[in-house]
Amino acid sequence: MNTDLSNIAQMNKSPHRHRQSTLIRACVLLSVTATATAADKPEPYAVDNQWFKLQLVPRSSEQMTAFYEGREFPEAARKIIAEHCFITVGMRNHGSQVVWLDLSQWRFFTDFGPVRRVSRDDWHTLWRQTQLPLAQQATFGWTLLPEQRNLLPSEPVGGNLTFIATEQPFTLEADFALGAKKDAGHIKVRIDNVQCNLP
Amino acid sequence: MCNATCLDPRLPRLLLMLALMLAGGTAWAASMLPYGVITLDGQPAPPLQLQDIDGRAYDLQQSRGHWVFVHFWASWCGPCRQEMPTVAKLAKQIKAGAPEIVLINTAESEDTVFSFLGIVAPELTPLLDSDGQVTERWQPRGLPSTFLVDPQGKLRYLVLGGRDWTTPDYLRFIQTLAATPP
Repeated sequence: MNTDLSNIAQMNKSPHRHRQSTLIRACVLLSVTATATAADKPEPYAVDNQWFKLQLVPRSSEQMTAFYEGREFPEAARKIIAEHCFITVGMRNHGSQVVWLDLSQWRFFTDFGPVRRVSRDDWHTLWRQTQLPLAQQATFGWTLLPEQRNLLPSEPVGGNLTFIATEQPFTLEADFALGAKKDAGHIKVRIDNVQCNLP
Repeated sequence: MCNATCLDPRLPRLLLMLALMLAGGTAWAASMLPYGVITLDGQPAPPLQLQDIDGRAYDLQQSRGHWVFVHFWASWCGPCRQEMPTVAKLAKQIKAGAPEIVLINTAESEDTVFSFLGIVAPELTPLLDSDGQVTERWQPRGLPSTFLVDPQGKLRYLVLGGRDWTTPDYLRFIQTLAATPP
């Protein structure tokens, strides 16, 4: 099954923005279509526009538990990991200005309501409660997507988004501010039909 | 007739040209940074006191007076694995201490580090950040990341992601730093 995903760029319409007219033209011209082919298994979802490339890869619980087992995570921690949905995000700023990754500006939802993302702070609390050794807590932290990052031109970032596992396909809507001071407009991206890679 | 205080009428124009050249030179120098090298604002480097894989203590404070290449990595990180052999080659190609190369493994066991570096770069002796807390304090933007600390102990450059340190641009950059007087 092929699914067309729309990627919508919109501008902040504040009148005192620099280069606003140029960016508006750029945004009007922007017509990027991200496609995902979802046959039996969820496949990568990709967005590639003039500012950045963004890819989402749903991971299976086997992939994740094997990875963390290799990092010496105890069985109890691996069991918790297996109960969650992991989607690996890779992103690279290939434009000429700063792009802000800010997960507080990302929304995940189905027709029935929001999908619960498990944040870095949530994991921190969970690992403290389960007394996961600090080394493994640090490693786990480095494998999560940063909650916020000002991506400089040419800078990549990667890591996992995590959710309470759901079988429902969901939609991602993400807002990226542009410019070193977030003053050069916003890019909005929408990806439909994202699916966790559940057994 | 002109005395000693008399200025050459061309002087203002010469000064303007000199100012433009200097300004242009600064911009040129900044634009000559190799790909992925970010200039930092010169804040003091966070504390760095760890033991290496042979049990020897290291303190960044003792490295004042020369540049230090502080490299954070982990063996599970793909770009780190690709980059490490080039760090080993860089270490061979530069003169000792110019800059000093300090590798910090993030939160892996001694066995893991030993079995990885034993194959890839046995001549390198990494520091072990066994609980990952030094890395947390330094807050690299990802792994691998390299900070270049100046002879006064200040953070001057951050190099993001993996690269081949033996390519001419990076070698020249590192050698230029080493030639910078403290």
